[in-house]
Amino acid sequence: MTMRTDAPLKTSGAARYGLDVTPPGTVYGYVVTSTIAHGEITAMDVAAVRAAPGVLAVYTPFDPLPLRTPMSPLLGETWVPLQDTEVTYYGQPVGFVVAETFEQARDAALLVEVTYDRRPARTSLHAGLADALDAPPSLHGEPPTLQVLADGVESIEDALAASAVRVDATYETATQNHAAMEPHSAVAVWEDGRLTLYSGTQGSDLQAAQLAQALDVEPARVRALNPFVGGAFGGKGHAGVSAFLGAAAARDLGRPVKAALTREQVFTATATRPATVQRLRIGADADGRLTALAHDSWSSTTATPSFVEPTSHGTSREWYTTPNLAITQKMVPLHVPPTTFMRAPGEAPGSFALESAMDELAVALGMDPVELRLRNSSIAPPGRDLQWSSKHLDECFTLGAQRFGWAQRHRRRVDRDWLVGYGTATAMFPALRFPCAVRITLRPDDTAEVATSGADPGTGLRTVLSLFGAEALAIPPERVEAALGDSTLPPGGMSGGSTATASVGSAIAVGAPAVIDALVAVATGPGGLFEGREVAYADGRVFAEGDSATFGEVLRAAGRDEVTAIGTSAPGEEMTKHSFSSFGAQFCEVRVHRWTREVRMSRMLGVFDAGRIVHEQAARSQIMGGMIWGVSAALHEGLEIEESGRPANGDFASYLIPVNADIPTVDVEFVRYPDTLHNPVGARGLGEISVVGVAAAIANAVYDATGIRVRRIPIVLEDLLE
Amino acid sequence: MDFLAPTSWAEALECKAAHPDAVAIAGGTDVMVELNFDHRRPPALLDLNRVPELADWALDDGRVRLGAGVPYVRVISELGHLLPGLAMAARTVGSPQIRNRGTVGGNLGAASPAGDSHPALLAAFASVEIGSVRGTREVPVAEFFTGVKRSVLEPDELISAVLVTPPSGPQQFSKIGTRNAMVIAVSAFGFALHPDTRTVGTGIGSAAPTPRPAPEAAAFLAGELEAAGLWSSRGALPATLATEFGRRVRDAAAPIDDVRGSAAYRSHALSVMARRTATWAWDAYRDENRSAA
Ligand SMILES: Cc1cc2nc3c(=O)[nH]c(=O)nc-3n(C[C@H](O)[C@H](O)[C@H](O)COP(=O)(O)OP(=O)(O)OC[C@H]3O[C@@H](n4cnc5c(N)ncnc54)[C@H](O)[C@@H]3O)c2cc1C
Repeated sequence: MTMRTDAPLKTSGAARYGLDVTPPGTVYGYVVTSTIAHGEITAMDVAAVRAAPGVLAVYTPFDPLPLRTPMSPLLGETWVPLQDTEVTYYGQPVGFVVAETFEQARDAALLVEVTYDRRPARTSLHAGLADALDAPPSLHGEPPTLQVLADGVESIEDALAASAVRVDATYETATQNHAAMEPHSAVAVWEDGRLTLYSGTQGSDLQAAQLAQALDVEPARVRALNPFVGGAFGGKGHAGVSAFLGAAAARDLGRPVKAALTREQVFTATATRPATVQRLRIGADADGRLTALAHDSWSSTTATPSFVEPTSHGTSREWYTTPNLAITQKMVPLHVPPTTFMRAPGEAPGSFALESAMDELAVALGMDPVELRLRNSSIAPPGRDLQWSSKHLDECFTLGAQRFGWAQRHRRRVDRDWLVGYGTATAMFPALRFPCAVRITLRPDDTAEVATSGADPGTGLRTVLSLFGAEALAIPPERVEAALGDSTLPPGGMSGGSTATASVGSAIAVGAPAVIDALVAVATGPGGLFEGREVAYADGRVFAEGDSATFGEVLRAAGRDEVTAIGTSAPGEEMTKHSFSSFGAQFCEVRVHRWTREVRMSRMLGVFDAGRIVHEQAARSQIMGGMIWGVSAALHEGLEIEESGRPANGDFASYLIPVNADIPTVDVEFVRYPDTLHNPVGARGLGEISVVGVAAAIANAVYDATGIRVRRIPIVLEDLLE
Repeated sequence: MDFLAPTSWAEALECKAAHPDAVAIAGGTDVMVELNFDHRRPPALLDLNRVPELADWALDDGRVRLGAGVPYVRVISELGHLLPGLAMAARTVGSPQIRNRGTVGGNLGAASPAGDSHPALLAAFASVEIGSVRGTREVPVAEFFTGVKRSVLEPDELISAVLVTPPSGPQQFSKIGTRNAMVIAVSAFGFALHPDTRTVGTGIGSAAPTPRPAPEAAAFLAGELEAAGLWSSRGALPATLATEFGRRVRDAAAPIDDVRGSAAYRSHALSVMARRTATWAWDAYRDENRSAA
């Protein structure tokens, strides 16, 4: 297996991230944030700021940098700061101070005096449940409230009432921050009316387009560069305040501007995963076959509603066979930091509710939770005709159960001071592709380049590009260079929706034959090495009868610097023939301290059906990271928003995520069935699915260990006091 | 901000006397956080890292003199045999990076109710050696803390060392956190047996405005052990006695609710930790006898 191409750079510190760039003359911007959650800014006194050492400029809503609200088909609107005096959450960017050094800017920013006209802030999801609003239509364009009822069934309530066994429970999940290692930041440089922006993002072309719109310049005049990204997870899809303010201030001042959020600012001035409340009602017959499934969801959202966590549509809509299904999705607008997608949006918190409820059903039925899931596995989303293209969830469960020792779970397990429990859950995440263009270039030195604008935020996409390029050109991967993270490259490979591998793979499958055709044309064309002859391409060489040459030799002979072709792909006809998803089975073992009730995950295994596994190491790393995030969601992570709207734990000392000492063994296995109905390379997404189901598997294991059912994550010590 | 960098203890004391509002910095693992968060902007920092007198420990006439600037990593590797309770506590501090820099002197200086060294020092009946140009004084750790993050240190004073006679019996430390490392204690408890004086040492962490001992509980346990002749017989610690001791330790605390845990949980945890550490220490005490015999 080839090593990840970015591994030596990252482990040695040689990888240069956006913020590592410091052009000559760089000055530093510091964002000022609001200290109330709702109201209007009536005045900002910045006299002391302007007088502070090194300060070059102070921008406020009263003296703003003009920015227009960008709109993109994929992301919708992106908020731009300082354009009005409204404050709708604590920690909202309300000013920007630029100085000669970062310390000067930060120091001066603390001298800003803001006067507010305060208004009452709504910050409690619970308090808002009663007057929640309907959410906008789902990703599939389905209405927030949706029912599929069997013939002759009048209502979901009837179907539930007629069920032999029923579960009715309400679950809660916490607000989360993406907490990427690299804080949101940007370095902006203008030259001759052209902007170059160095900034971690999930798609450089998307970022360039948003910046161009915001700054009202031609798209071609903005170049976004992000060769390395220190984690994104959905939090770097929309361009951020550092990019907007940095770019606008750099234009205003005629100096390069570097701007980075502090860790504490990242918790409010970017965006979060909404908090959710979910009620699950499940009915089954005595054999454990579902007869009715109702999933009602409430999600927090911003004061002017924006992103809503689609927990019902992301899970119960598709996961199990049931003759009767009813789902609703509501939202509660609050004065809280912006909401946005975060790893497995919908599926991650949704699966905590659904998969906990399935466990409760298994208990009510006295049935093995694995068996219950196998029995209700869907062949298509309920009420839809399109069957899953390739589904091997059963194999994930049976293989996983065997490998994990699931059969042992009936023994009463107490290990010294610890109560031991096992839990399981289903994981699913839709297999998607986005439109994608990849340029393939053959060069005279017998190397090739595969280039697209998208990002590798630690996913391994850089390596995957090389591998796909090598495969399609039939040359060793060492001879294929991957280029990405540059908006001037063909648009594609956006890191989002677990789409990048399938999208770039499909585009390369189109582009490679095209570049080979172009090569052949050079070889056989006027002045070509094999002018006028019949040739064929194989293994990096052009073969004519009795003769052959490498593609580099062909290019050199023709005096060509390169041949190039762009392959494009997009979701197409396949969408009318099948439904597509990745699948997985999560297993975990937890230990709960008998006397002091700490919960620790002691062992976990995930078995996944994600089509073809392109690069084993990158795939395992993705899955492991996501599974660990699931542990975090279950046992550690939650942004606590006080009544005032201020986050109580917006820093890494108190916003807990697991440390190495919390994560013992994480075992990952794949069942490998290439899904060529979905795309020519057979790979489906495997990033986001890894987090799905883990929190439920842990809560289910805690129940198994203690008999205590915890329906709110993160689980805290108090929950387990007897 | 001025940066004062004395190279001897005498010079350090003179600096502190001349700049009473200078903030001492040892490992900096608390000070730098406060500066970064702008929780304080001292006019001067007084760097103690170049003061050789603070950088070592010695066993002097049966008493350990632990220089205020000795980092946790050395407490762990060098003092495990003499002060096992303190070494156990040191192992739970932060991460390797924090243990490389952080010091017991700094832990005392910060005087946080959650400082992990404090319960162990309390249980060992340690004292703090404090110096100034006016002279040197010794304050028992139990009297050192005066409030949340406050201590008896006068503006011109610095901590020179911690003085501890290694307890003559086994010691234990127990800490509950919301994860396995890099964690501020939800609550903690230090315990030491002092068979030579037939006393018991206790230290409560993260469950009151200051670290504090549980003197009534300690006296109760020591007295019951005495009454039952257990100090000399080394018989088993009755479970009821251990439980009652735990209850009394719990009653000595004054916990609050915060993001890390509820007061109710802290109370519960303290009673469990006190019962268990006492039992472990007592079992070790009994084993000592067996191995000696
Ligand atoms: C990531 C992280 C994790 C942490 N985890 C833990 C943990 O698990 N448990 C725990 O208890 N603590 C923890 N801490 C806090 C800190 O590491 C400890 O309190 C440590 O003991 C402080 O020692 P220091 O030498 O770094 O002190 P410094 O930061 O240098 O000083 C701390 C305070 O003591 C004063 N001071 C220092 N030396 C003297 C002296 N000789 N005389 C008088 N005053 C002095 C300083 O002025 C300051 O007020 C953590 C800190 C961080 C950043």
